[in-house]
Amino acid sequence: MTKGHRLRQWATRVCSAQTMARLIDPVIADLQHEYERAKADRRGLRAAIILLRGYWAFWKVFSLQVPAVLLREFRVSHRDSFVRMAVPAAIAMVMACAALIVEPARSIRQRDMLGVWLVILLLPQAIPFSVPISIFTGIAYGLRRRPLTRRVRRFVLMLGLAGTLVSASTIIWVVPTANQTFRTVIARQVVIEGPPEMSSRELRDHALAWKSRGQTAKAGDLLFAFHARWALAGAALAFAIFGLGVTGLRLGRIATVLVAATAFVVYVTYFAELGQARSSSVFSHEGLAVTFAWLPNLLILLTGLAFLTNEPRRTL
Amino acid sequence: MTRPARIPTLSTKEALVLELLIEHREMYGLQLVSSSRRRLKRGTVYVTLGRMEDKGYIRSRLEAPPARTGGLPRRLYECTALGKRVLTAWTRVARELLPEFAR
Repeated sequence: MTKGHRLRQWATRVCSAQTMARLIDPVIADLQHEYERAKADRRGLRAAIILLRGYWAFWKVFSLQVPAVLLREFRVSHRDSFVRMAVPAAIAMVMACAALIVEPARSIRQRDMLGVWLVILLLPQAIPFSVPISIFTGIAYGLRRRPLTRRVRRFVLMLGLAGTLVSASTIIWVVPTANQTFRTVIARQVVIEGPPEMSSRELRDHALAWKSRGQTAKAGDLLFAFHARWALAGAALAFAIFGLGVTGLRLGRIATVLVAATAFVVYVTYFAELGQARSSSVFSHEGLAVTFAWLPNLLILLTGLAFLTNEPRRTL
Repeated sequence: MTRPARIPTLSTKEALVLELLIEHREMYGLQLVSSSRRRLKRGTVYVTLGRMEDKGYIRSRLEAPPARTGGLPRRLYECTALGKRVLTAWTRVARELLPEFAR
């Protein structure tokens, strides 16, 4: 079997024929030709380096270029659906962010400290919750009563992955710094970092340190915070598939909005309640912390898949 | 009223690709990358080439599939007459505007 054959087979499931011909096939062809030439010249090390560079180029193209191409293709072929998706998604994003920011913003205002940039510091924390619900609303509303063709499913999958990327980047690079800056500004002095202000690496290191000292409850708390971050990042993909499943239920406009609002409230409340439970040392067992962090995503994903696969139940 | 024709646009990378293709007549994507002295990247060159093909600046054809290895045939790119005209116009405009911006 030639090098890159399996990668190509896998890519054909996701990419359109045009994307394959224009982007994927040339990258794989380059890899194969360069590799074969190096092998024929009996340059083993060079061949191995070529393989690594070729695979790196493939994944770079696949992760950075293919989503943009798929988005462009979908926008051209499903122009009306795209507009129907984009508008509710944007509204849901703004409303979800506002709902999450309003309470802390109000408490700041009571202390006569409301500034636009303080609200901006609260925004990163709202984004990992708002992105999944925005994607869900866009898909469930925009693709309502539309045939779920292969191209549509592919687009939804890419949208979920893109959302996951946005959430993960926000959680990893923006949220801890924004939280710490916010706390420092409010307290008007340097404040020791809590779990929400720690980087993921710090969270994991602290959890392992507590565990090695036999403090399993504290270790569990931090492990929950660590896994909850990654679960929040992955929520965009789970909600995208859930949204696709909900389109099959053929709900009306109001019902779709109600489902989106309920999903948002339940999801946010779940993590808010568990945030409080953490301080009462519920996660004394490591497995419990991991399970509770990933459970909502798993349930949402399974529900979405069940809706998708269960054709007779598609009329509600 | 008829809409005015769209003015062809050319990015720096596209200009570089056209220059290389005019110089070498026909090239593979990877050859373009290696000839560009790191100004073109493996991960983005095919997106640029695809866009240029859409604009009509270049055309491509598949070479004959390799006989022994059973691998994929490579795609060869060539500059079109439009591509040559656009590059000539772009170079002329750039040459005229550069002294203006250099002041």
